[in-house]
Parts: sequence; structure tokens; C-alpha cells
Amino acid sequence: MGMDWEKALIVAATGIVSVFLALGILNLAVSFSGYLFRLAEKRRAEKSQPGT
Amino acid sequence: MEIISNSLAGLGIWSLTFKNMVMWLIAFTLMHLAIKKGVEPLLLVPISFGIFAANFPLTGLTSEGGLFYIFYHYGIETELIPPLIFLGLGAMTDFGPVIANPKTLILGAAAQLGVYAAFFTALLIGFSIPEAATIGIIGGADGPTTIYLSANLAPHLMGAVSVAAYSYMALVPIIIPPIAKLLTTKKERALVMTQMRPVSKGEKIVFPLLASIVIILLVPPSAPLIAMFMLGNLFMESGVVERLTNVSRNELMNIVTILLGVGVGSTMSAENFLNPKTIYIFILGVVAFSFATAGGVVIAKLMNLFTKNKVNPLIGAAGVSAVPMAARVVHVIGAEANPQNYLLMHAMGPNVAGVIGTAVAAGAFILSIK
Repeated sequence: MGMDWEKALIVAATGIVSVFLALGILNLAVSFSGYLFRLAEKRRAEKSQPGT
Repeated sequence: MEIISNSLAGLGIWSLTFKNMVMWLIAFTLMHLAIKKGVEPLLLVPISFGIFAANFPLTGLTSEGGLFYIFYHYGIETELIPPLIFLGLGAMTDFGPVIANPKTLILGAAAQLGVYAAFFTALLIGFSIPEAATIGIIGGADGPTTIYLSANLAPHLMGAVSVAAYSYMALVPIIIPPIAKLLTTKKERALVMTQMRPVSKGEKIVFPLLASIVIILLVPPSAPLIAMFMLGNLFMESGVVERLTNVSRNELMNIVTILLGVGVGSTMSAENFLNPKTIYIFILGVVAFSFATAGGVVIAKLMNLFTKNKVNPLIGAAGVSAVPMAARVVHVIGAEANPQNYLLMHAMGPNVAGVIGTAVAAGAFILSIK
């Protein structure tokens, strides 16, 4: 039986795109959440400084 | 006299075949590796004993209703145990290095290129698409994911791919260094990375939720592994369910490891294992690991072309999951090039990202093949 190379290519392409897309978006999401956490931290630190 | 004759006829020794004994030899070799050489003993001891016991004739252990059949059918075939192992792994994993340096997630993805290199090589050799996917995932260096995908796509290959995956994980210190050195200059290996920023508890609690949302929405079939991985991590990072954290990473993990090992070993009957496919699987395992290492290093070098904060390209090689051994190996290679170089924590980022990447790759295979 011959190999269905078209399906194989689709399987591989779907996989590679899924892996890079999922981890790429997670990279952005984690970077953004890290930015928000650091911003909140900075604001808290500013508020807690006396006389400001 | 007839009773004695019937009893003697029922002795297992008359039904013992040469193939059974070859499988015992394989079991003893794996036991030797596990006990004497320390090769993945937690898995290889139960797997090898499972092979040994399953190859006794007339026991009924692997027949429907038999003890090993029950382990396999209810634990592995139903895909229950690999996610439970992931629960325990999550309760042991510190995502701090990934959160501090999120671009290491890309390196975890890059290392999955080995999965697809082995996938295509397996297809060229003549394996079917589901079989090639199951063999390819060995490159993720993640035993539970390999078993999970095999249960989904090619259960008849489970024994061979599991043993290959666990064996090669132990060979990471031999496979990674030559490839990583070949693809990097001494100057690149000597690169000292900037110290990682501290990560707050809040960020560590949010990470498993964020990761679940992003990954499961994109690749739903990865949900059993990712959801349990992140639940275990949330147990640990929340700090309020110490009992659940401890039971996940100790008692539960140990119990399911026994069932997993024996269940996988019991699938390795002579008929399933003693064929040319097994040899190909072991060869393809090397292809998968080698390309995974190369993929991580090359993408790390590419990333350096476009980013301000350079990464030491060696840490890309740690994207081959095998936590934490791959990170340790990378650290040693970096320290050889520059004794001031301390890469361990930096390498843990791609290392744990590789676990996520392999689960996503497995989910993507299920999505497009099943």
C-alpha cells in the first residue's frame, strides 16, 4: 500500500504550527502577565514610599 | 495416574518457547541497566519485570481479565495513568525559569523538530502515519507522553517506543554534547547569560492557568496531559494544599509508576517485540533525539539574531525534555567552555518548556490523525 504523503505533510505541518503557535502565544501571554505583575509591584512600592 | 499425567501436562515448562526465553534475556538486560547502571530505574525495573513475567507461558496474566491485562486495559488503554504521572510532574516542576525568561518556551518548541524529523524518517522506512507519529514522539524525551500517544495511535508499538524513550533519556549525556558542540563555537558556548529576574508567587500561580487556557484552546487533545500537569503545578504553587501536592508527587506518582511500568512491560510479548520494527524504532529514537537537540540549538542561534538579550545557544539543547538531566548536561558543556558560566537555571526554562511542547506535539498528532 502506498504512503499517503499528502496526509503525512498535513499531519507534520499541523503539528509544527500548533507547537510553535501554542508556545509562541504562551510566551507572549507570560511576558505580558509578567509586565503587569512588575507594574503592579512598582505602583505598590511607589505608594508605600512616605511623602510621595 | 491420569491425574498426575494431566497435572504434568499443565506445567508451564512444556509451553516455554525459545522466543519467551529471548524476551527474558531482554528483560534481564534492562534490569541490569536499571539496577547496575542506574538507567531510569524507577521505570525500567517495573517494565523489565513486566516483560519477564508476561513471557511465562499459561499464566493468563496478559489474557483478558488477567492481572497485567487489567493494569494495561484500565490504566493505559483508557489513558488514565499518563495524565496522573503528569499531575505528579506538575507538582514537582518549578516554572520560575520559564516565567523569568518566557522566550525559552520557543526553545522548548524548537526541540520538537526532532519529533517531526523522526516522523518523516519512519514514514520513509515504511511505517504507517500513526506508527510514525508514535515513534517520532520519542524525540520529546518524555516517557508518559510517549505512552499516552502510543495508547492512542499505535498500541502494538507501546513496549518498544517506551523502552526506547526511557533508554535514550538515560543516554542524554552521550547524545547532547557532540551535537551541541558541533553546532556552536567555543565563544557561543562561553556566553554568560544575564541573571534571571526574581519571579513572584502571584506569577507562579497565574502561569498554570495561562498555560492551560492557551494550550488547551489551541490543541484540545493535549488537555488530559496539560490539564493535569498544570493542576499539579497549581497545587504546589498555591501553597495551600500541601497534602494534595505531596500525595501527587509521592504516593500517587509511585503507585501509578508501578502500574505503568508493569502494564507497559506486559505488552512486550515475543510476537510484538521480536521483529525488525523494534530495531528500526531504536535507530529512529537516535534520529529523534539528535534532531531535537540540533533544533533547539539552531533556533536559539536564530533567536540571538533578532533579540537584544542574547541566550547561550546551548540552552536550546535542553529543550529535549529529559528533566533535569538535559539541563545539567548543558550546564556542564557551558562550564567547560567558560568556568564562570552557570547555565543550569537558564537551561531549566527550555527543559520544562520541552515537556509542554511534547504534550502539545502529541495532542496535535491525535488531532490530525485520529
